[in-house]
Formats: sequence, C-alpha cells, structure tokens
Amino acid sequence: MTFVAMIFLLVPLAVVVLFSFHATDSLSLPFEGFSLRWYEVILTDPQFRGAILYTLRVAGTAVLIVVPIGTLAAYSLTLLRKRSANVVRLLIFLPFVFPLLFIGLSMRTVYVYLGIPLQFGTIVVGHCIFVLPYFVLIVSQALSRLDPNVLEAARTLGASPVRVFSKVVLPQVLPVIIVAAVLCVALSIDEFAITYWVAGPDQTVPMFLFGLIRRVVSPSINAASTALMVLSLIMFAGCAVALRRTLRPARAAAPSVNEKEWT
Amino acid sequence: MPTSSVTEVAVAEDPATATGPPPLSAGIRGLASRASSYLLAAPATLGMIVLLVIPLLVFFFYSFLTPQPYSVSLPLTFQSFTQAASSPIVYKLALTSIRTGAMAAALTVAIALPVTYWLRYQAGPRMRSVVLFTIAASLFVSYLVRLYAWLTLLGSQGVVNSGLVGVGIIDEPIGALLFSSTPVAIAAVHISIPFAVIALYAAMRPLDESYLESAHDLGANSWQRWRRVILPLLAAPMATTFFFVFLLTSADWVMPVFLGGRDGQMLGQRIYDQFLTIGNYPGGAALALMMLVVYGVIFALLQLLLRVSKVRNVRWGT
Repeated sequence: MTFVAMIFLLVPLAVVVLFSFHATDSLSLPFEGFSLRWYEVILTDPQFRGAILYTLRVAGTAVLIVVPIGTLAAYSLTLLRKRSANVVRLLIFLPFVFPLLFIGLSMRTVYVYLGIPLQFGTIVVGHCIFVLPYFVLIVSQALSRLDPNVLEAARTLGASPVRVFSKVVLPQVLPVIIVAAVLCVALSIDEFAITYWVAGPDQTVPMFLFGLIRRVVSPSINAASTALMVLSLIMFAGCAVALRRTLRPARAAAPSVNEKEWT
Repeated sequence: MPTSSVTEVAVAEDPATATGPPPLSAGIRGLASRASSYLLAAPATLGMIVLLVIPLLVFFFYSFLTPQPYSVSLPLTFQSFTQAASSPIVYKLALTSIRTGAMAAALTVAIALPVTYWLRYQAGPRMRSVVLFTIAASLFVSYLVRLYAWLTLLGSQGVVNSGLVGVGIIDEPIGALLFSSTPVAIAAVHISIPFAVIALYAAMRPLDESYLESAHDLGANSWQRWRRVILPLLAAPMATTFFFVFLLTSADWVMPVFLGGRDGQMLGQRIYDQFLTIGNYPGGAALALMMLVVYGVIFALLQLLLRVSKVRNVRWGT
C-alpha cells in the first residue's frame, strides 16, 4: 500500500521533470530524446526572471515581518493565562479554518472599498497572514519543550523578563525559529490562492505559472515547474538538516513530546 | 503544556522569598507581567483583527447589501441568498463540490491510514525515515506544479493516453480522463496525502506498540485490533483530516478550472465569476457565507458522530 501510495505521489512529479527535458514540444509518449532547450526558453524569459525576483522579495519581506511578531506571540502563549492564550491562539490560527479563497476575496473587497491599490504591500500582508499560523505553531511547540525549571531558576536568580527571554529562551529556540522561517519562505513562494486576489500588476512565480498553464501546455512550463521544485527541495533540505541538528539533543533530554491540540 | 503555569508559580512564590510578604505589590507585579504578556501578543492579534477578521466580516456583510455592477449599495436585503438558494445552477455546483470534496477526503484518509500504520509499526527504521522524508519533501511541491502534472498526465494527448495507445491497449485516446470531478478529486488527494500522513502519524505516535501486543495476547485478531484499539483512538484525528481535506477541496476554484471542465464545475468558480466576471459582489459573498454555514454544520455533525460513537473522549494512556 505504501509502495502504491509513493508511486501515486511521485510518478506525476517525475513525469513533469522528465518532459522538461523533452527534445520536441509535445507532452505525450513516446519520449523523443533529451534537450535543455526548454530551460533556455524559460530562464531567458524576462517575465519569468522578474517573477522570481518579485516572489523572493515578497517572501523575504513577509518573513522579516512574521519572525519577530510570531516569536513574541508564541512566547506570550506560554506566559498568558489559559483563557487569554486560547483567544490569542484562536485569532492566530484563524487562517487554518477559512478556505483561502474567502480570505483572499475578503482582503480584496476591503482594499477595493477603501481605494487601496493592489500592490506589493497587499501581497505581503496576505502572505504574512497566511504564514503566521504555521510559524507560531512550530515555534510554540519548541517553546513548550523548554524545561520550566531552567526558566524558573533564571527568574529566581533575579533575571528580568526581558533577560530571561533573550538569554535563556531565545538561544534555545533560535534554530527552530530559523527552520520555521525557511518553511515560511517556502510557503510564501508557493502561495497562490490568496495572492491571486490581492496582487497588483506584478506577477509572482505561481501567478506566472497560472497564466502560462491557462494559455498553453508546453515543456517550458515543465521546465519552470522543475525549477520551482528544485527550489522547494533545496529549502526542504535546509529545514531537514537544521531540524536534525537541533532536535537530537532536545529529544534526548525530553523523551515525551507534548502533542499540541490546536485544532 | 508544562510551561503555561510557569508565571503563576513564579508570582506565587515571589512574596515568600521577599523579606516581608506584601500581597499588594505581588498583585501589581502579577498584573504588570500579565500586561507585558498581552503586549507581546499584541502585534500578532491586532494584525489578525485588523487585516483578517475585519475584512472577513466586511466580506460577509456584503452579502446583505444590494448588488450594483462591480459595487454595492445600501438597502439591506436577503435577495442574494434567496437568489442563490433558488438557482438550479448553484444547486448543481453545490452537489459537485460536495461530491468532489467527499471523494477526495475519503480517498485521502483511506490511503493515508494504512501508509501511516505501516510507517508506525511495520517499517524498519531506515525505510521509515526514507518514506517520511520523501512525503515531507513532497509537501513542499507547489500546488500549481501538482495541478499541472495531472493536467499533462490525463489530457487527451497526455502521458496516460499516449502511453496506452503506444502500448496498444487502446486505439483512440480516452477523452473522459479529464474534465469531470474525478480528476479534480485525484489531484486533491495527491495534494492532501502528505498532510494527512503527517497528521495521522503524529496522532499514532503515542499509541504504543504494547497496546497492540496486549490486544494480541488477549486473543484479538487483526480485525479486532483495528476495530477495538486503533480506530477508536484515531477516530478524532481521522475526522479532522477528513474535514480539512473536504473543506480545502470543495472550496477550491483553480483545480476545477483546469481539470474539471464543464461537468466538474464547483462553487468556487461561481464565486470567482460573481466577483470578477459578473461583478455581483453580494451574490459571491452570499454564496461564500452559505458555504461557511454548511462547513460549520458538517463539522458539528462529525463531532456529534464522534460523541455518539463514544470515541471522542478516548485519552492516550501514556
């Protein structure tokens, strides 16, 4: 069963990669030889290059905003009383329970009503809202694994709350914060459902792909898709390596990991 | 959550360590620390309220306004709701959305469950990490790339058709592979399986092997072990997974555009059209609000089902 499931998961993606190297412009079997021409087509396309730069700028800006805000929010969840923490959690995890179509549309509705032009900033806001719950989820898991005795020791030794946070809490969760930030970059790069509604004239990579798929089916889209997959995989590998390094000592110290009930 | 009580403990012990225990100042300090905790949460919560909650409220409020071409005007009315509720097209789209979402959700859970079971209890450590790693990596593959993959696989000149013709199994390409709700559901399953496996794996992790072993020692066969031990413990996470796959699939508007064709059209496309093509904002917002109510009802029914079958309050014994 697992084997069948893995084939089901991987073969379609492998086919996309395979035909990105196709020598002719057809996307059907038989396969007629290898060529890199479609990569040349896509990588020299100024629109695609522009979309990549724009996407990275959006993702970078969104993550720079989300990391400090999300870290503080996740930390506050450990300090607040249960009821207030639940209210904060409810607000932050709200994007999980609404279809993204509704979120994108509601943002667009308000911007149109207020006369705010759809632009870079509106995409960044959409992406911040979209990635914040993932970020807070991961970081608060890491925070809940911290040893409360250590924090208490710091406090009784006279450390101010700011000092406890910066000298005791932050160093321990920093690797997880970095992993969560990379994940957020990956999520932001792929985001389409909200972006479509709040984007101005400039295109992100998924919007560019969407426009291409709508018009034609050509191996150049396979090449663009493969490039995007490679980018995602690089980020995933980065996350995985960082997580492995950080989780090993933590796991040894605390064998029972709390399963968060956030749903 | 071991850390949630940390502040309270610290505040409670503070007066004892001070020379004279002044309850008033301790109370003030408690208040101050609580206030600063609120301050930490403020940017995120205020941001969510201003940039998400208010827009959502405005959006749903739009459904009660009078439609104007690409605009709205004041007299409040239920017109959009009655129109949507009495439209046979909306009815048909709703049925397709529900069918596609339910098909995708059921298939996702049905595939993810045995995979997770295998990963948790049967796989060797090496195979387990390879498969988990691959599944987690596929989580990162873009939604549009997956959609495009199925489009090129199932198209009339696509890989499946041309492959079958080439091998000689069929003479003519099968047109029916694309453009119905089935390919939409298949692509949705493809997107959802990694999420489902990871969610179910997390839920299965605390279920110790010793439970299954003791069930086995007490004479339970494998069907009874599934029925009496595994399924009751996994019912809640399975229901959650089912619900979220259903929600994401049935509200999608991109996949049905490319893979669904005319027969696979869903409500999301209708909302898209109301906003961008027709310019009837209240009409689109009313549809969205009605969908949200239906989702709420389905979620409540699932919870009720769990409660009635008495599996909701099963606790892990770890």
